[in-house]
Amino acid sequence: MTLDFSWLGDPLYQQWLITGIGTTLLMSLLGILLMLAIGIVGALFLHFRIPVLETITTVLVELFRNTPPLVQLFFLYFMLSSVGLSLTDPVTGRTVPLFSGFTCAVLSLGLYNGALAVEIIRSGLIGVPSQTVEGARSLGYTRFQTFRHVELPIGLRLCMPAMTNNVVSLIKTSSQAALVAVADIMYGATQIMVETFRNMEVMLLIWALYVVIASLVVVLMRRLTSMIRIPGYGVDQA
Amino acid sequence: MTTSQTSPLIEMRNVRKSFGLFEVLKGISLSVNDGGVVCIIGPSGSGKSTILRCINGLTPIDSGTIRVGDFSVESLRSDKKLIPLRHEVAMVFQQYNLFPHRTVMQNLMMAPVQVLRQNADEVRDRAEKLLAKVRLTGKESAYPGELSGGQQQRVAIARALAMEPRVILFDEITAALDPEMVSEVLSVVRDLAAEGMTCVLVTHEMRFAEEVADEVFFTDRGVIVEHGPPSTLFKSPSDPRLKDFLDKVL
Amino acid sequence: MNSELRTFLLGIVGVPLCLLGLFAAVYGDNTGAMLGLMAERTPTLLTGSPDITSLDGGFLANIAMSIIAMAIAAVGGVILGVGLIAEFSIVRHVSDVVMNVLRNSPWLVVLYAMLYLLPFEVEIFGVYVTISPFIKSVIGLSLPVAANIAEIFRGGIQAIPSAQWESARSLGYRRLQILRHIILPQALPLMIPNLMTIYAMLFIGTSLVVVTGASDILSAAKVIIATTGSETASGFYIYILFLFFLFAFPIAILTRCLERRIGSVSL
Repeated sequence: MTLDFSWLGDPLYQQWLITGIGTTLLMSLLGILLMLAIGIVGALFLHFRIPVLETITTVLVELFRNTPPLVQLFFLYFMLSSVGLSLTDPVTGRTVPLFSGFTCAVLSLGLYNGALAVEIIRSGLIGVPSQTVEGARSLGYTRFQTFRHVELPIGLRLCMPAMTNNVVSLIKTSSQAALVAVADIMYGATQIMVETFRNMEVMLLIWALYVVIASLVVVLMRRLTSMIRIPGYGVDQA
Repeated sequence: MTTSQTSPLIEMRNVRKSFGLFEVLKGISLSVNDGGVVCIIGPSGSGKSTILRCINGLTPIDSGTIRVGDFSVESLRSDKKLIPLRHEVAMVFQQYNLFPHRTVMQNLMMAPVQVLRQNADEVRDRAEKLLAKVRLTGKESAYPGELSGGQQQRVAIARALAMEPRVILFDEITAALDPEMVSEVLSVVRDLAAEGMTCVLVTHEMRFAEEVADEVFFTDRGVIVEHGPPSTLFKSPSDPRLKDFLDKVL
Repeated sequence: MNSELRTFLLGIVGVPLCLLGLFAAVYGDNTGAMLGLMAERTPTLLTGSPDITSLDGGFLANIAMSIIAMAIAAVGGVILGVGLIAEFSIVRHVSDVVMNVLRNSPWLVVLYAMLYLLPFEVEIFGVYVTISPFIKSVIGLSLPVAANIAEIFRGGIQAIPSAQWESARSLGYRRLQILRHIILPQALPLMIPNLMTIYAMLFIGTSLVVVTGASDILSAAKVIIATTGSETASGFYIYILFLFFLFAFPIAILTRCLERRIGSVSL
């Protein structure tokens, strides 16, 4: 078995790969932001046991985390594209569909990993000692102020290890966006394979690319975790 | 001061509270004068801490009345309505209950700025003076987890004082401390009492209670069995349960 | 009512209602006709054949793949896990690298790679065995799952206090004996909830095998949609979501019940 990576010298393929990496990173970043927003808001609904919203959150969380994200993405893509909303690009004047593959992929990543994040953040909140919460209440903090200034900051730190896994999961899941024609790393790879027939080499390369990106993100998240670590507080063991 | 000399600052009348089927408070009545120092003693599980928690509204009561200054606590049902009360009534806990993710200085400043909406610079000046008072100058940027138990408890007292309360409730504040740290915390409380701060203490430190209290209440199984000035209560207890208790702890 | 039961009832009623609502919102007046069409195609979705003559495709294939891949991954995971706690630091480091690489690999990419890395057929004792897309999918799925299992294995072992090792050693046990007779019996119950979570993840992940050409439920759906028209796609995807949910959700609830009773390994 000999591997031939000479195709990597072609500027066109380099260009495709770099564009792919950029798209994957951007899609993941937007997905992470949406995931965090959904996670925090959902955890808030569950934590405060807000009537109706709590029930809806529970149902949606169970729906999203117990079904395949790929099918969720396909469904979003087919349903939203059939809705057919479009925007007019102010620069080029062209109409672009509002729910492009990219938008759908970001939405789907945000929803699937957001559903996981709801549970992760909620268990972080449960880990906040009740005495600390009581301290805030005795100083006149309302329930929401207590949440914002005390429970959430401590709870988010407590759930950093699980959140790191969730972020890595989101980046890995993003590779399925290629199946709705988002020009990410995975998509770039399939394009190159079609042209070069160096299937094995291309797949090995992008496999390595994803592993490197995920490992770098793990390192980044660990650094972030130690940056926001509370001195003298047993967050690490939690 | 809106309250006259004749009416006490805190007045509890026939307060009852049950947790599930267990009645913790079975008709508690007590009063605390402005500037007074009151100690509540009694065996564990007798409802001492619950009394304190009812006074600042952390635990809602089932029946009876609690008046603090001009507030009738039992009628304050929402967080918003409780804020002015908590401005006046501060609490210090056994487990300190500091915010672990904020520095000492931030712990002192947070509530006055975020809850009372006071000017941050003024609060900082006040907080520095309070840290000096509890002998912790220089620890402004330390995190609670980096301090000893005694130091954390003094920060908690300073945090309570930063709210400029009219009364401070102390809930077994030395119970979780190593023996050698008890005195540094008690001496801070002693200073406060001497300055005329109204204090209500739940404590197991009988000698300290005897020294600082104007009046001591002995609770057992949800009722106040006996109360009076420490000299009479400790020297010549009349109730057999109190005698029994004092025999065990002294 | 305990919280798991409450969540279970909410989910098992709420999620189908939610999906049905979506369905009705997409199809409006045609909802009835679409439901009829899907009922008619149900055998194909479930088994891959319209008249249930064979049972090796569709949703059943997803279930079969998840079970076989879990078995392979369990064996691989334990081997890798023993490597993670090996005495020789070289073995430990190599196992750690392998685990991290597999754990950080997107499943989709691994599945794609299996298409090209694995040969079309292999010769075993003179017999040529074709490596079908089914087998490639199973191997591709079991690789990252083995890494996850190895990590759970290590977490479970480490959750047992080191005093257990010491006291067993003082009784004359050797390392592997201690692991087998003393540590694992205590650690295994702790690992079960995590293993169930991994299995649920694996099952959900079988949706990705569509890229290998295996005849799973998604490829069955693709064939159907090609004949019934793309406007029916949303309906079939909702149906597939529903099927996966029916299978995965009870496992998730059971896992949480166990977790509460016996605890779990924190990784």
